[in-house]
Amino acid sequence: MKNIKYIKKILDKLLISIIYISILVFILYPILCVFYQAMFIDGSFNVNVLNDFLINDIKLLGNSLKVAILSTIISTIVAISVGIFYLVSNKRTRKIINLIMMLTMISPPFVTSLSYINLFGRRGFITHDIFGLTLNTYGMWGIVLMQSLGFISLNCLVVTGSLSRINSKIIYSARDLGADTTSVIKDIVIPLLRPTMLIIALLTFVRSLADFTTPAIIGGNFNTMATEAYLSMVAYGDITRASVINVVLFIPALFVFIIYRKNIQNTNMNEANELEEDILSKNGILYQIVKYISLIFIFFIIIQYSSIFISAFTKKRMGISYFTLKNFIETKAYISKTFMRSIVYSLISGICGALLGILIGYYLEIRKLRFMDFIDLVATMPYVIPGSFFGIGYILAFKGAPFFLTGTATIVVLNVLFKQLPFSSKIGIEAANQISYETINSVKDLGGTDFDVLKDVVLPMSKNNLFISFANSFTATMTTVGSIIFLVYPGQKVATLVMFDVIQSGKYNVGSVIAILIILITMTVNILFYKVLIRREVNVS
Amino acid sequence: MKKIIMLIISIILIFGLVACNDNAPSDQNKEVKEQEQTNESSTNETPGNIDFTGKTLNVVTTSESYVPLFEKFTEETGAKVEFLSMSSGEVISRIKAEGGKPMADLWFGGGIDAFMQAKEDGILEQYTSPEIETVLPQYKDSEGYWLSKGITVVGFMVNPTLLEEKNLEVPKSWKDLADAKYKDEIIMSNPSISGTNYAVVKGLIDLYGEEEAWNYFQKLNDNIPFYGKRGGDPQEKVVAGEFAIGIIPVAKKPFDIASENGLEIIWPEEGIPWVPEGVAIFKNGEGVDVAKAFVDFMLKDENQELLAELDGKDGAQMIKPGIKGYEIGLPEDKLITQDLSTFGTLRESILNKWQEVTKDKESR
Amino acid sequence: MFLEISNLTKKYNNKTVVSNVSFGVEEGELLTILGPSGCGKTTILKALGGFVKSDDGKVILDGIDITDFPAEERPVSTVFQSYGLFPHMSVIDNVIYGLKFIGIKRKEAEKIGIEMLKKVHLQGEENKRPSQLSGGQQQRVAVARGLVTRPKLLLLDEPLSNLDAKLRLELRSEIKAIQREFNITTIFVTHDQEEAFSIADKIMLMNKGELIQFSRPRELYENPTTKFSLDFIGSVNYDEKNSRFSRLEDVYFDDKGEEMEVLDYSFKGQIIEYTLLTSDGTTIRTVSLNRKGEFAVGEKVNAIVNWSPLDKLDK
Repeated sequence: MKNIKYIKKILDKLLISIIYISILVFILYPILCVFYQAMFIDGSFNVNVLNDFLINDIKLLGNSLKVAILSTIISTIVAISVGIFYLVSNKRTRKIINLIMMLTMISPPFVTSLSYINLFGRRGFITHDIFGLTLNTYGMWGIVLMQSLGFISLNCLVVTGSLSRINSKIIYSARDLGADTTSVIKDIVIPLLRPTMLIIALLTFVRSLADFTTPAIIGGNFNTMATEAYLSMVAYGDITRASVINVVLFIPALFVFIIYRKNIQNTNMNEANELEEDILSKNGILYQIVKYISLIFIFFIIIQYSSIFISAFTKKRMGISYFTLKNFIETKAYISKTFMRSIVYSLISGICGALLGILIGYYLEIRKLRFMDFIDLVATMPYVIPGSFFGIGYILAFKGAPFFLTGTATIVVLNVLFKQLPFSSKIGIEAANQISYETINSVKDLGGTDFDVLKDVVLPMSKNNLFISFANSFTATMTTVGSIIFLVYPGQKVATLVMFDVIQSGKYNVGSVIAILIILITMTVNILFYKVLIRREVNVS
Repeated sequence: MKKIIMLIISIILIFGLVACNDNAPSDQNKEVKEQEQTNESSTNETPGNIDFTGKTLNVVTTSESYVPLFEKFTEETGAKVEFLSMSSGEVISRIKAEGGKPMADLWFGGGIDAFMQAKEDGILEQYTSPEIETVLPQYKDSEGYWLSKGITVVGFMVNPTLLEEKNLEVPKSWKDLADAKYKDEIIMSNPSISGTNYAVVKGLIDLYGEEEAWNYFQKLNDNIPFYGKRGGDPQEKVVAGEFAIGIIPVAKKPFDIASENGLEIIWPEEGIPWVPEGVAIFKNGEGVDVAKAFVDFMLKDENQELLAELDGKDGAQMIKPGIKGYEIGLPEDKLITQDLSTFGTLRESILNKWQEVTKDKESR
Repeated sequence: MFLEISNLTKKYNNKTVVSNVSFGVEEGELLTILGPSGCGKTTILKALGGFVKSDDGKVILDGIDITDFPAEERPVSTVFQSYGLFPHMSVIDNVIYGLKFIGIKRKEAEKIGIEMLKKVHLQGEENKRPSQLSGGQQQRVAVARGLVTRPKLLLLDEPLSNLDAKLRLELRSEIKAIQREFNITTIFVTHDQEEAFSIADKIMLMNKGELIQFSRPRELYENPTTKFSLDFIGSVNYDEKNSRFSRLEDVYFDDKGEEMEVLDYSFKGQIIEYTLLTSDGTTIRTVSLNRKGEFAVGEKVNAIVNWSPLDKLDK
């Protein structure tokens, strides 16, 4: 018996070391490498390239900031509107909104750009076929619009989550005291949403800065820092310049990170409830405003996805579209093993990421280990770091001794795993917080070790959170491009890269097919895991 | 406070690691160069008919259309083929960025300029296949570091309907394209990425001489709103109706697409730029021997014909005389007399100058 | 009747939560709705507040049929169990919130608010946030907020359940005092009988959505009309054999009484509860004030029991 206990204790220490080491090596180290590359040439401190960039190409920074600010404003306003609309709607409408949000979240990020060209390009369905215009719609506003559309759903999810944490009695009280819907929204709901608004604004800002696929496809002439970093790697082979650009991009991201960390401590403290129905009546001017904004948004999403769907099933000949399955056949040539690979990588990222997240939560919140706080801080960094920054970091960090990982599947998997860790660790912490001290102490009381606590109580009780973690990591990895685009060798080609490739070559129809396939796969796997992890529990009770 | 201390300690530790790491690649290269000298004598041996079951050949290539060729190779040798499609400029950039490590075993397709540069950079493997005898001299490297799989020729893909809407005639020559009336209607790809478009720049320099060529590009630049980021961009954007004129690599497929979509292919009057597409083996790849076998395989006549078919090339575009191809009406006499020897050596300076000329379009 | 409810019915998913309830409240009266959890009392309150639409029935307040009015239009104020205070507003802002909807300007409203805060003994706390106040103080803010708009009906949904015993007693009398002072028609929902008895003018006992008994407190206690009322209110000694019951206070020690044996006793501070075994084998309980010392287990005592017949009760 004593031996087993001893082994369990060792296992415990081992787990802790693994967490410490892997976080430091696979997150902090690559980040530092990028800085090193940007500021040291041949081993000595040299900021010439950095200065050069700041002097000559400061316009790029301006472009990136412009786009980021605009996208942030638009998507925050729309996300809040849709959230409020959701609050006031009945169950059926809420279901539809949820479905649409989910759909946009499990799609690759540049799917919107695809449909944008289909709809608003020079020969776009809306601009040309309906309105007879021939516009040049490449440029800044196209990017802003498409980015916003892509970011709104995740923001919306955060908003509805926050709304569900508002005690419904507060809203009842306001109405009780005579407040009509407009006043309730103005006096109660929006003020209570302020911290949430800040968070989604920060997240959107950072994601916009990091996004290079959208500007690459529809930016035309308008270059952002993210695309320039991409070009530096891909066209000019200049990893120093790419590092420099990423370092400059990191500075606003760092500010955001600090503010975000401060604020995230204050929110999410209560349990989420099911949002009650009919909590507010559907009158008043504010309601009408949010309703129309929401409807416009939903409309955009619907025509976007319809156009992708249609694009997958049609081809144009002499300017007229006809229905065909040829696109699917064409796609087969592109995909072969890549989809399998995407799924495998995503599964690894999902499962390992979820487990790692729970472990961090356990060691931080329950065991209150000394340096876990710091580890958590580092683990959250990838959230605000641009994907390409992280990718370049991995190249720099692991191309040489003792790793030699460039060109392997390992580096790709590690990259996607750790990129999603911030979310997983936050979920893990929440899960740990929800387990009461009494339950944990009971295990010890009855003779169990710390390891038993982990195995028998923490993990089983965190099933819901494990699933959420998994779903996020799996989906994110299935749809990721940014961080892995520089890491992939022929043996590691994944579905999203093929899609990006194909869109860049203008084969939009094939791109649409791949998009649909990615969406279907992501949806299916998520549902499967949901059924396995969660449904089972429900049946037992 | 504690967090900050931890952060500082970690940074110091890691910088130590990084500093050590930095030395590693150059040591590696030195080691490799030494090995190379001892191996040189043995590189002229041919691998026999070996069975490669269980091995994988990693390929970077320019498009997805070679799958049938790869599949035939797999049938015959048992080796699996994995490929990634990338423009030639991108391949060089990535290798440079990653410190010289080869991305794959075989590099199949892409402008020869990139291959020449790669040879200079020392990342290619030397190999003389027994089948190489019958290949025309201008299509293989004298020292055996690369060969060609055919030439790509350049022309225009034009949308007459779009032009008609603007009361413009179909352009017939390079000179036409510089005419201000075509402003915003032309698209071409960034020559740093696309080998084909690099050929355009080099070709016109060889045709007109440096000064006149650069003047021409200045004017052309005014008509181009932005440059595509992949070689295939111009064709597909013209097909999508985004642009009226695209500078594209011409082969059977573009002709087919043109007729399907009511477009025209134009051979520019003054001259047709062309570039041989390269094939080479990366040094230090894991499947070097499989790659060598592939080179042998591809040089066989029957596979050359398959290649011509897949590429949609005219017989005149193939590297061995007498290979049957498609008839696409390539006016052989219009091929610009290009100085292939400087294709590679001048690459960097030409691209730099090009970036200067087009500064307003790219923010570099 | 100032407030008249007729035939109020509410179903959730085929389950009837409130079944055909009718009652009335006089102006200035405090009615307590008492019952176990799930009996429908909170639903009635919600229907009165306008947060839930009843499936059937009418609500007439001061002569006006408010059945179809939405919450914001009803002259009704509700104090919720969790108080529902606005966490992002100060105490004074919370209290005067409702005044702006009846057109009172801010300066005036603040004056009124401060007065009201005095009345609930919270003067000086105007600028604090709810999170800075104790449970009892938050409750007072909620009450002040509800009263400041001079509603015609005040509803309190288990407002004291979250407080500890001592505080509960204190606030209970305060609420009663304020209610009297403002002469405001009030409905107070609770599951605690002692609470109900101590403040109510009338008690409405409910079970499983049905109105069981509606009477003054003493009436309800002394003349339960149903077995449920008997069971729920107070403690009962049952003698099934002879079909009779008695309250604990109906048993008292007297030398003239029949002989019984002490089976057990429970020291409860103020009182001592005894369990006695009667001569014909029935177990009954009684209480006696902690004055004269205790009886020991096994001791023989004499007690008189005033029984009441069981058959007078409906089910």
